[in-house]
Amino acid sequence: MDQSAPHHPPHPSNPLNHHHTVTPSSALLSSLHLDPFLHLSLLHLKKNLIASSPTTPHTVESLKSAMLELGLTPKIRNLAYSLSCSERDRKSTPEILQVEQARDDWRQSIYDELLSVCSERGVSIVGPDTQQNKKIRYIFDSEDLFDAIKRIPCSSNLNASLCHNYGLIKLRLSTPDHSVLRTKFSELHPCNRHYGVDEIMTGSSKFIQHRQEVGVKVLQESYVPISRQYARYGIPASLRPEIYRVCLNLPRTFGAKEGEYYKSLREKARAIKYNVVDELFEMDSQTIISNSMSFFPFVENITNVVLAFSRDSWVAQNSTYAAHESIKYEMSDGTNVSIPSSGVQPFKGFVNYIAPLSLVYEDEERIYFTFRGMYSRLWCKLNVISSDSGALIHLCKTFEDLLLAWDPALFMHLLSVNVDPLSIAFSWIHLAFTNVLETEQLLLLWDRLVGYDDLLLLPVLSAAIFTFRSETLMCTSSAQEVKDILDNNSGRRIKVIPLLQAALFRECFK
Amino acid sequence: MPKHLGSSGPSHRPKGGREGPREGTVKFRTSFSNTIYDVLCAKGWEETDSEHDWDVHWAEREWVFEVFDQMHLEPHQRLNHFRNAKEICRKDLLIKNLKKRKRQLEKEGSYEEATQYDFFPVTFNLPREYALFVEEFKRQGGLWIMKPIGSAQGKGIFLFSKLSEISEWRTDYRYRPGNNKQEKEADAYVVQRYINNPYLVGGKKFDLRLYVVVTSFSPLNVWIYRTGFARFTNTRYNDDVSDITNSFMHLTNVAIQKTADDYDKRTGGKWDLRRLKLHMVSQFGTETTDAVFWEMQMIIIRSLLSVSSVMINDKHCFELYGYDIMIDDTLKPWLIEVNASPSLSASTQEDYVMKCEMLNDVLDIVDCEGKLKGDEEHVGGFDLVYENGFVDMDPKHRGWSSYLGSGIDRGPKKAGGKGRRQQQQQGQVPPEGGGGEMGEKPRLAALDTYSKFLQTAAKGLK
Repeated sequence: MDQSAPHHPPHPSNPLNHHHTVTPSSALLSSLHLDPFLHLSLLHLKKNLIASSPTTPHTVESLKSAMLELGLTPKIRNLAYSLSCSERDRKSTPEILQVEQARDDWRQSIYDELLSVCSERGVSIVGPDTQQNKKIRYIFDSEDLFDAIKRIPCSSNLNASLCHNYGLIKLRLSTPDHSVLRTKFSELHPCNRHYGVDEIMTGSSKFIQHRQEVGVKVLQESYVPISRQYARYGIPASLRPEIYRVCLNLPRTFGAKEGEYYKSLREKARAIKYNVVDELFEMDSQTIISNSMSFFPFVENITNVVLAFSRDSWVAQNSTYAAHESIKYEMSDGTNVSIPSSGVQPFKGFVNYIAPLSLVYEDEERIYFTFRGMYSRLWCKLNVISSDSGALIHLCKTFEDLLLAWDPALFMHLLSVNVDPLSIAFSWIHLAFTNVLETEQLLLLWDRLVGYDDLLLLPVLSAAIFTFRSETLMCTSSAQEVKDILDNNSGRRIKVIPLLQAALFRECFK
Repeated sequence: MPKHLGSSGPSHRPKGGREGPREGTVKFRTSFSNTIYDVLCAKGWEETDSEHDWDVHWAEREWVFEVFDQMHLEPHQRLNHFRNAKEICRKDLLIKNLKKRKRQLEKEGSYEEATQYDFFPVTFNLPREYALFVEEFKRQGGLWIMKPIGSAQGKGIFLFSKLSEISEWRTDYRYRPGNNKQEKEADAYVVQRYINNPYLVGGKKFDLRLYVVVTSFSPLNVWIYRTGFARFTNTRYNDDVSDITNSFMHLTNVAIQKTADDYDKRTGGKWDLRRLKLHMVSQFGTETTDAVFWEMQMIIIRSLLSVSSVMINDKHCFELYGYDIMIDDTLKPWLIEVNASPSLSASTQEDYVMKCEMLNDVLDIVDCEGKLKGDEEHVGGFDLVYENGFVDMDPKHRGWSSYLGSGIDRGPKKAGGKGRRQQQQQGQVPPEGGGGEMGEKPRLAALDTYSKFLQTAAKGLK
């Protein structure tokens, strides 16, 4: 990129202003170099400027107005913001040895399972499927991931007494305590009006109208941090499609380019079938979606989305974490392919991440990009074995520490009836409560996950549910009773936001 | 915001309940053995076979045709059908009544209201109006649906787009001499322009079943149930005319869907009305969705107004109607038909619970025990929408023009009675614990329920 690239002055509330360690401008400029969209846009901009006034020199003002006209300003602003965020979030601590080992083992075991299912079927992973035998089984599910994590031992060179023995996560990870959570999630305080609480109270029509007006203004801004801030208070259903997109750093409205890209993915899925992998995704969709009261009309759409997802190498390149490993395969014409291109292997329940979006977006193309954004930013953290803060293991430990702090008597009681609380909460966290909450509540929860760009509310909600049911749970005398009280069906009546508020800000309710 | 047609008239319901509280247990008579039977038993009422000594009779329509005229009923007795409900349930009579009302409004000068009576697709009674039909067909062509007047569950219905396709039917009909009046009527059909541009969800066509209770036709009192069903087809909709023989795609009656290869027992291909409303809000926004649901409510009221003058009113009678409505892709709702004996069988667990709750509410409205004060506007999931005039909406529901599709606020409740176990044994209802991967229909909490919830939450956190 040449030196005449416009230097966009930082927005007043731009987080860039708050960073001291990283020098954004140089890092940004070099990153901006690499972004293909931006490069093209700037070329376009240059062409426009030269065409409009070939002789007069260009000022910063004329550049700014030209950028605004082309709609570049919000895009560059968002790009700058997301680059600064990724700088800030970049891992600074190395992985714990045991965890690294576990991750490698886990990825290897998935790889092996997949190949073994292929050989059971007598097919290769790609290629004609002439076998009559259609026998197929899932290669793994939540339970398997849970087992892999449970097995990780505490670091051996530490004094054993420092590892608390009560939880299943033996690793010494520092988790946020109550006061940290209260600060982080201060927007959830009951003094603020929220979707999930206030829209059903008397006098709510003013609140609803106000939220709607603010939301429309937020969308006009199309700036990632502002949209996220807005999402933290809950999003009205009619604005959710666009707000989610902006929060995930997508352009507010769905574009033709995206449509073409999605079509090309569908084409790839039609052209080359992945034996076993495709079938597992389809089986997941058929069993879970067809049997779902809420989502059964969308079974074809969701199946198409998940198959397209598996063909998208963007996922492998842009996800915060690479959860699984692809199988490298050499095709007959010498080309190497990764199967699947996304780097995400099928497991039981994967489509749960997609399904709720079928009630937000009309078409599968639109579902696709939001889902892809959510996976690459959020759900990948739920499927990777890493000790990083914010990833699955850390979330599990946070749950255990919170429950122990909030209700130690309950924790001990559950242990006494041979129930590890995490064994119940694990699937809630792993599948982001898709298997528990009814859809309206689930989307209200996801509004906050997207708004905070963080999964910490998953363990908070899990612990809150346990303490909410504490009285009943203390009366149990067997593991089965505990499971019955906390089974997934009981989650249907849960109102997420009041529960989170009660958990985090309990002194308000005394 | 859609216009309202006038405010509520004076209440014609006697204060203090119908006849005051009953002495002894309510006795019921019915020949049904499904949900309605379970509900009647669950109320603790006594079953009887007696011809005359019953308080409420949930009868089949045949009984009403055959016996009612000869019977004298005591003031306290309640029957679940009006004598001539055929005026609204037989396709040909319904059309006749709707057209008549429209003409009447035009004669009175209420042109704007008359134009609102455009919610039924162009229909002709056959064979009487065959010539008129041919004229329209030659003018507009298109896809048409042929429906036998007396049919239910989709039997005998077929689609056609060429006159030659029905020439066979015509020949058949001609050669069927009907000396018996009833037999002749059974052969009569209506032919209706087919709605070939339905509003699709997930690429699938659906129609809506709504439940309405009428306790009196003059004055007209209408209760509408807040929820209902959207019944989906299992295959993706295709408006290609060559596909019209594929019954499964086009016809949404559950009875027909059940025979499709990929019919799924578990879901029954139905959505709760509330689920549909939420979906529409996120697709089209609140205002548009509100307008659609308002239109559907108006279809119900207008159709009942059309027949109210010809219905033989009877203080003993009440009736539960199943309204079939379809929404096209311009989001205009169309009236397909009205059933005076809507199916009371349940295809899934959720279906069973919903139907039982609804039937229980119906019986509460009928109020054999005289528990109601007489000024209620909400009973269970039913709302009194019309009482000799429109009933004003509850201020709590500000923002919505109708209650249709709203959540029903019931406290914690156990579903069904001992009958449900019988159903399970007979294999009709799946056993408990078969909850889906995703949640069930949501219920909005009223303010007091919400604060109770919060208090419990706080208590639980010590």
